[in-house]
Amino acid sequence: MTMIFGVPAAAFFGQLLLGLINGAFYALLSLGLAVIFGLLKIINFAHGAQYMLGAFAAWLMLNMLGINYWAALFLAPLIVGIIGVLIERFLLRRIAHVDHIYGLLLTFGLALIIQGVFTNWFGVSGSRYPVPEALRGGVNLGFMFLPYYRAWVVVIALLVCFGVWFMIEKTKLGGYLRAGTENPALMQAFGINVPLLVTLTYGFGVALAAFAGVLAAPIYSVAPGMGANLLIVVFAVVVIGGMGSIMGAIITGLAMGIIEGLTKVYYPEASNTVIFLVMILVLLLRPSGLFGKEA
Amino acid sequence: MAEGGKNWFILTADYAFGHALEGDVRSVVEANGGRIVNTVRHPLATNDFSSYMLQAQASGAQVVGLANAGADTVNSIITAGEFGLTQSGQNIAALLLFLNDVHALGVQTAQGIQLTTGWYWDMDEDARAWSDRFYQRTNARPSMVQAGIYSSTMHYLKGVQATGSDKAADVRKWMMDNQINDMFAKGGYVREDGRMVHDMYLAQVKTPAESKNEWDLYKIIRTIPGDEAFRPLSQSVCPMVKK
Repeated sequence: MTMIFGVPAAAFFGQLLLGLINGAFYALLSLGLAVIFGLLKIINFAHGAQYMLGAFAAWLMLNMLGINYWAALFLAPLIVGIIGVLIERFLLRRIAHVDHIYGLLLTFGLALIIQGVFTNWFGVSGSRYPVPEALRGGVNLGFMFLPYYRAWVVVIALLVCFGVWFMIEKTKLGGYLRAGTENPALMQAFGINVPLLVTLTYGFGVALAAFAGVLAAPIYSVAPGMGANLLIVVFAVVVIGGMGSIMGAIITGLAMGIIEGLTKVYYPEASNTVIFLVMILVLLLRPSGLFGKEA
Repeated sequence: MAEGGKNWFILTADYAFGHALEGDVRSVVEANGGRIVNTVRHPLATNDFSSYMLQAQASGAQVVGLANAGADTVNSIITAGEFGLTQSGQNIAALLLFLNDVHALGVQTAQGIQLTTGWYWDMDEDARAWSDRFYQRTNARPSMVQAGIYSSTMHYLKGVQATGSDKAADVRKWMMDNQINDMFAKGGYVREDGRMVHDMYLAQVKTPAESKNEWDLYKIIRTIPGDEAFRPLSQSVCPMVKK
């Protein structure tokens, strides 16, 4: 059997693929954070809770209203996005003029409250969300068994990531968004409703987190703590990619998924730490991150 | 062990509790002529277990032992199901799995998993009566942890009442002198190293066909007598034990 660094080639490619799938989650989540930070300069610590809300929204819709996965994939981000809009409009806007640290504290507090309330309602163990009928089972690729659902996750996550990148970097709407953060006063003078733009952007970033939550629901346990564990890693991904860089967040997300996946084979004890080691290295060599613009 | 296979793969949570659990399993498996094919240690609160499940699959072990707890165990089991471990003939043994975890997984996903438990709400009349009261208040069935804490607290309070003292030495002596017979344990007793010895149970999660309601989750396969279930006093490393 062919060996790669002491691991059979088959196992190696399997792990590479799994890493890519996890990387797709990191990319999707860090993308939302990057959009919010890049355009609003808010460090959104509620992102993990919003991801969890997305998963719970899908679960509640299935169990209370009988709304299936495909509809939830659209509806859950919409509902959680609206919650995001309300948070921006009634809470974040009031502290927009003060130091960023207040936004961090506010969103962190919100995350704790939301998680606490859900733990009280649903318990820590969470609930099980079934894999949609059409995506059950899997295919044997020869080197590994690939569940169809994981294949679907990686494809849809990448499509959404590049769709968002295209919208922000290449379209007129994206141009408004970028200009609105660069110089809000001038944009307003041109007759563009900047506060509305900011509110919708936050809602959109939150909706992305909820979308990732719905995607995650059939794979992981839908539990109140599901986002808190992930959030720290996702923040590291954003820092490595460069705060606010859209493309940086996507590429770094995928790369970190792969690095983490390979660590799980060669030295599993370090698999939760490896991303932070990369972060330290990157901060030492390129303080603005791999794709960050300002030094 | 008797119902399991010979070759084990152990997935361990990388902290003191996981290591202790892994060590206990290793000694039991090896004492019974089994073999540990491989162990992998994962960090606490790992998000994705697919990599480990692939390694478990590749190891060719008959039994995949999960020396972890809580959300890690739940996610391990979900991922094992997703990657078809049980379909390919491997058994999953959860070393510490709580009733609420199994409830969260659902019988569809968790069916057939073997686990050890110190107590089950439907195991006898006293347990049922107590958990009915619990159910009326909380709308959920208690796990062994909740029952164990209730039992130990009551035993302590009875000790305080009987001795008329809340001094640790007095109450402790009473607690060791009196057996525990309540909704949790029959003939349980506290050893000099402070370990409460009681029967343990090997249980298997029911199949969807066997389970009559959402909390009807376990079949008790075997009772493990307290003296076999816990590390004997002679091997205790507790300094309180006079050798």
